[in-house]
Amino acid sequence: MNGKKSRIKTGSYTLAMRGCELLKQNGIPCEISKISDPEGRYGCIYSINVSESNLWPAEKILRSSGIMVLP
Amino acid sequence: MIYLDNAATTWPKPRGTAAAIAEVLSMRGANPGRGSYRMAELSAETVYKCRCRAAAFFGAKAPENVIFTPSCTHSINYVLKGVLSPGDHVIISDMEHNAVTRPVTQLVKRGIQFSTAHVHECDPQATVAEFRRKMRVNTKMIFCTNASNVFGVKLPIEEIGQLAHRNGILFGVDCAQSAGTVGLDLNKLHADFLCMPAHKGLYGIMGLGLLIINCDRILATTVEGGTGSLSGINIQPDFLPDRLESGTLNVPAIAALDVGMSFIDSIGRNRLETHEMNLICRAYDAISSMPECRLYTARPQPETHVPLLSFNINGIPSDEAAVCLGERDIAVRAGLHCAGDAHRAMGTQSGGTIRICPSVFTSADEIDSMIDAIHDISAQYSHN
Repeated sequence: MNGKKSRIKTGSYTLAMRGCELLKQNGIPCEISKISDPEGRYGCIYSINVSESNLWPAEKILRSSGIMVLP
Repeated sequence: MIYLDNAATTWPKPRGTAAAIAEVLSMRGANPGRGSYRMAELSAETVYKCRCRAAAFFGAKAPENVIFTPSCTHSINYVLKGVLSPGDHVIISDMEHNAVTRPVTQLVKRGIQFSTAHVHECDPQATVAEFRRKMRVNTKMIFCTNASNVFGVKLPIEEIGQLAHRNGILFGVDCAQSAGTVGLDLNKLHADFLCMPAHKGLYGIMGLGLLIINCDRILATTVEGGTGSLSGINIQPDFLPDRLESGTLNVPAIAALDVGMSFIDSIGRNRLETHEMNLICRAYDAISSMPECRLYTARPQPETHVPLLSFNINGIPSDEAAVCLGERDIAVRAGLHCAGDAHRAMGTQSGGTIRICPSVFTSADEIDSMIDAIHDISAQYSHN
């Protein structure tokens, strides 16, 4: 995955894994990382990292598949 | 040893189980879903892979609808205590294991009522009618076993599920004796919750249960704690599977379960059930021809029974007979099998029964050897 990365935040590792699988099936390269919410609202969360250009379609795919996307 | 106690736990386990556990301990031993280093990711991948396999195996909507618990008993408790509130009514059957009867009895102290529906062996319509008769305006849930762990009698869960859903009632099933042996597909069942152990028909190991959720209801929690997610918030997450998976998961058992389900798929569930049903019918036919023995059910059939059997040798207490079989290296279970209600329903509560249950690893020769041993024990007692 080249270029600038965007983070899509989700609550759990299971959701992140399923989300990542879905994105890859739709041709969107991605990877998972565990992060601490920088604003301190949630604590430990998971990030699905995609390229900036894929952010909008990726979020759309995730939301339409019932995967929680945190603000 | 001839092992016929597979209703308690299947043994042996499929080839590859021990290696999968060893690999977790040596290569994937980190806490899953907690750290961000490679081994923690590998551990989490192990869990996710098994979750996906279980979802596909039972037709669950998504992997997160598969919850890993410490046991089938825990899964049942999560459902009953997560759904029922004071003033609610729940219907169970008279074939339940104590994993169901004890929690509902305990819940009475919290103002929850329960009724028990009688199961008519080989008469699904009569059984469904019993459940219908027990329904009240405040019935929140029907929770029953898929098949008796003592007598192998199946309940018509598809029809009971339809009855429940037609009346806006939640439906939960204890699949302890059916999961893996009998095809269970949530796309066909009207079930909201399936509870099962990993270590019986799914050929996993002890210390792991599954709860498969097939509805949008958010269960109240009976256990709260760390989930590796949203850790800055002191309230338990409301999303699955995290809501119901507090504490570190049993990754070695999860890896073993993955091997078990893969093993079943490689054989084919129909083939496996046919093999076990043929063996139990072989045992049934032989025992039914022995005047010194007593059986309690009709000849098992896939539509009405799972492949397990209860019987007694006349004049010999079941526990004594089990010891005699054990001395001949034949492993069976005697007594009440943690299911007092089922024995009361069948009139066997005073001495219990001897229970046998084959697995995919059991052979016809082993069943014949058990029959020979019963003849031998019976003759020995009649001479004394």
